[in-house]
Amino acid sequence: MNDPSRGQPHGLSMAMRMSTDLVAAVFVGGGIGYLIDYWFNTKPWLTVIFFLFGLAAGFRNMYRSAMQGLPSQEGKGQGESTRTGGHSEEPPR
Amino acid sequence: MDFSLIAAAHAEAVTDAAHAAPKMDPLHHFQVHNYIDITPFGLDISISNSVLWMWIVVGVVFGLFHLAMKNPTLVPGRLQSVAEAGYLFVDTMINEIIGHGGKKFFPLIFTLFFFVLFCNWTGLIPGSFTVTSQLIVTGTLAMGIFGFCIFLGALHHGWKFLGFFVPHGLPPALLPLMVPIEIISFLARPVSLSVRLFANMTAGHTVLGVLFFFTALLEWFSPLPFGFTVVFTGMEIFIGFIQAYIFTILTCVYINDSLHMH
Repeated sequence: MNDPSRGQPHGLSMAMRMSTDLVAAVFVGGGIGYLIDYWFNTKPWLTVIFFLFGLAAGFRNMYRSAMQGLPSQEGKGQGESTRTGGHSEEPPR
Repeated sequence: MDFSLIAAAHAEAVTDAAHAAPKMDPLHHFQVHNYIDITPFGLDISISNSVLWMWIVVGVVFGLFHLAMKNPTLVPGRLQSVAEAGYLFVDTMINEIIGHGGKKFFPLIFTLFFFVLFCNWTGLIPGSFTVTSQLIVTGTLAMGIFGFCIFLGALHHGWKFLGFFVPHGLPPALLPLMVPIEIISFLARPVSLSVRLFANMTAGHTVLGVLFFFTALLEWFSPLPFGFTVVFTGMEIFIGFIQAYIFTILTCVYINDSLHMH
């Protein structure tokens, strides 16, 4: 179980987060593409493009949550929070 | 959770159940039925088993914490130390992730964590109803968090919150590529948040249901599936905790993103 004093994400929780993040982004991307196709009658094209966008977004989500897990290990004991927020691109120091 | 395995087990058990007496239906306990029908002006606010179990969960959490902190002592007793550990757990989570200015979200995140946790755990009592196995419940929670984060971002940053979709230090040529990706990954948040909790709870309870039916069906062989149900119940307690933890930690991450954008 998780030790509250460490606050470091459990490996299993990390795995569950990433897997659903990836799948959900692909579904949302494909869904948006399908809807736009439905409205503008451009049948297959936008679905394909947005599916790929969704895939990229899913991988980006995974990358981001992986990066979020790391700084809490090394930034431990530094007093104030030095986490990289959701959108900073720099790798953890 | 392996769905194909469940499906195979289900198909196998259905053919078995055609001969045997007990009817195989592992999805039966996910059905919502109304106890009292209340439909004023075509609006369905009936008291269903889902609503009843939500009330029970709220009552249990409230009662436990009330009991634990009724006459607090400096050296905590058993129940009080559990309550204090829960408080500290959520507090550390907020400090780690939101940090500065996260204290005012403590009541929200604390409530969310214990509501989801006890929804997951009370669902394990035989004959009870798992509230978090309904997509509409987890979806409503996730959409509420999603809307709250947008509101918070708009409140703190105004129109600059739209800069959320433009990653730092990006060459302008890549903008038409990255902005849709960022928007999709933002819109995927409530979907993944709700589907994760719902799918884990549903899958786990379906496996439990299948194993219990096996216990009923296989006469002299039943100790084996029954042993598995014991193991799986322990597993489900753990999964219930992990899922509640993920749900709240992601809420913290999303609130943090809205507060401190970059």
